[in-house]
Amino acid sequence: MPKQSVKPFALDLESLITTESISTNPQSVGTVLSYGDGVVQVAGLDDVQAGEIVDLGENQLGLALNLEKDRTGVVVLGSAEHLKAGATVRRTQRILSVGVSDEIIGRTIDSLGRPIDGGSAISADKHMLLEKKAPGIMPRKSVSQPLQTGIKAIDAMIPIGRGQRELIIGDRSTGKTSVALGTILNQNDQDVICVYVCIGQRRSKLAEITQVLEAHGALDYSVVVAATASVSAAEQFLAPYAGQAVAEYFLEKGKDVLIIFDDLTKHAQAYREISLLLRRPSGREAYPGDVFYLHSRLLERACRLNEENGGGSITALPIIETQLNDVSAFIPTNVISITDGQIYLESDLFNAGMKPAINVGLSVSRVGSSAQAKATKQVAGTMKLDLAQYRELQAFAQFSSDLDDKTKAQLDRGERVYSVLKQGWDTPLKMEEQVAVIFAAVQGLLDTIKVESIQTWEAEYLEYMHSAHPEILKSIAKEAKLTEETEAALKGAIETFNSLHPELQIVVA
Amino acid sequence: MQPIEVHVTTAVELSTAQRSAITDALGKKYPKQKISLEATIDPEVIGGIRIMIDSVEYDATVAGKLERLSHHLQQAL
Repeated sequence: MPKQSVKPFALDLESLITTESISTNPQSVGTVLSYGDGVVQVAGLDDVQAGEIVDLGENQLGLALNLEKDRTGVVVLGSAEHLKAGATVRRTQRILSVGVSDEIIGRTIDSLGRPIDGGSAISADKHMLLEKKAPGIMPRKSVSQPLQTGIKAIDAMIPIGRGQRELIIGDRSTGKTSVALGTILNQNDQDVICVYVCIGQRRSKLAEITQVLEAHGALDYSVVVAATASVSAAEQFLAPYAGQAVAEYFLEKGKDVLIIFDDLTKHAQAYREISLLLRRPSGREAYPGDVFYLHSRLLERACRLNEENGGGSITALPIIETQLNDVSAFIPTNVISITDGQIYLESDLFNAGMKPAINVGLSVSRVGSSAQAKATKQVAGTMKLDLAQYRELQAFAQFSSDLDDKTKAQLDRGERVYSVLKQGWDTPLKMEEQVAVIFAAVQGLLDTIKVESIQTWEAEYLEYMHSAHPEILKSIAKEAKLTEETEAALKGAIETFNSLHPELQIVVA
Repeated sequence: MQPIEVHVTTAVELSTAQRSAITDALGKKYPKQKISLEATIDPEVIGGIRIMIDSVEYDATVAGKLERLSHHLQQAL
């Protein structure tokens, strides 16, 4: 609450009391029949709407989810320990919404829009509905602008466009959140607002994430919507919709927004809990029948709008956690079919030291390539080929050590291209830097570099490029493509750099 | 025809005159229907009257007004 001095407050109070209308109006009320496990069964509450907020008294709210002939099932938001059978609850005639204004940037809020970072209240410029229909066909536009994640493997081979929905899927601790966080960090100069929705995660993890965002200055353009594991299932169920509502506020202003749902597996589980407690029929894996619609209506709200409608976009990166790489489980298959592609993270790769542990063979982006920068496209085309050949040959190479020179060269090349894709999650690279590095790998300029030294090579090489040849990087960034002159200059620069660093080279016996 | 059940809550007991005044007033709202009045005494409402008809509540008690005022003030801050 805003701090006010005592005197004006006392003056305010008098005028507030005299002007406030407290006259008697008919109110629709209901009587509590039972309360348990966060679900209140209420008799009465005539004319209550589905999804309406119900006032449970003591400043606690509930959400009317089940409407039946003689009773209403209300899910408690927060706690309602004060309720007893026979207690009175009231209709509020309000549908769930969050109050949003530009002040929200840098803040952490809960599913109902209340700040939970200990800061002051957020003034509401506009109330955004949690449940809103996705934009229709006419205001939309196809994806045409890239969303740079700063991660080489993704930007080069699984490009994401603004307005796309790209799933990040993988087992526990394979770096899913890191990919998403790295992407947020890379938006520092991209004019993108980031919304990070935390669903059912540990509070310690949330604290860690907000600290990381703050330390990297990412809170200047980010909002965190959090429903951690300790809040009620109803709040966890609402969190992604609240995040989407915040994102839509900026979309309406014509901004590009990136929203991350971490993760939708927990969201589906929270919804399953609510549904079972409301005694709705359960289906596969005990999920209710509308669990597909639960995620499809959420992700359909990601969009790219045309210029007449502001030209903003919402790019969604939902995260799904699998068990033992089982992507054919119910929720993963659902979300895979809704999204425009997936980034597949594997624990085997992660344990083998490949970070980010992206399986580039299984990961796809269905719409992003049309938005990819031309320069990246020029270098990435050959990279895919190199990697595909490498994977094929690798299987053969395990059986025999007698390899002809050509095969050996291809294996060496593949190994180096793979190493080049390794990257620390908190060191996103700009497009021109990525192009400069990948160019070296696919042109065979790294063939003489020791595989184990590639990371060092990359760091020192980028430093060298920034200090000695900034004009090459600038020209790639400006032109967004590799002209013949730039290509020649880049090649020359790499050769000079390599000759200056003999310690990274393979020693020829 | 089923009579309309009306629950009335007051802080002190209603006099016969008050009871008939309430029944008359409700008779205007629901003409041609019998009204069965059920009165409860609850000192916690402080003063005034609360009438419940089915799931519609008319709260004109002092306690209810104070609660509404406190709610408005909290929102205004």
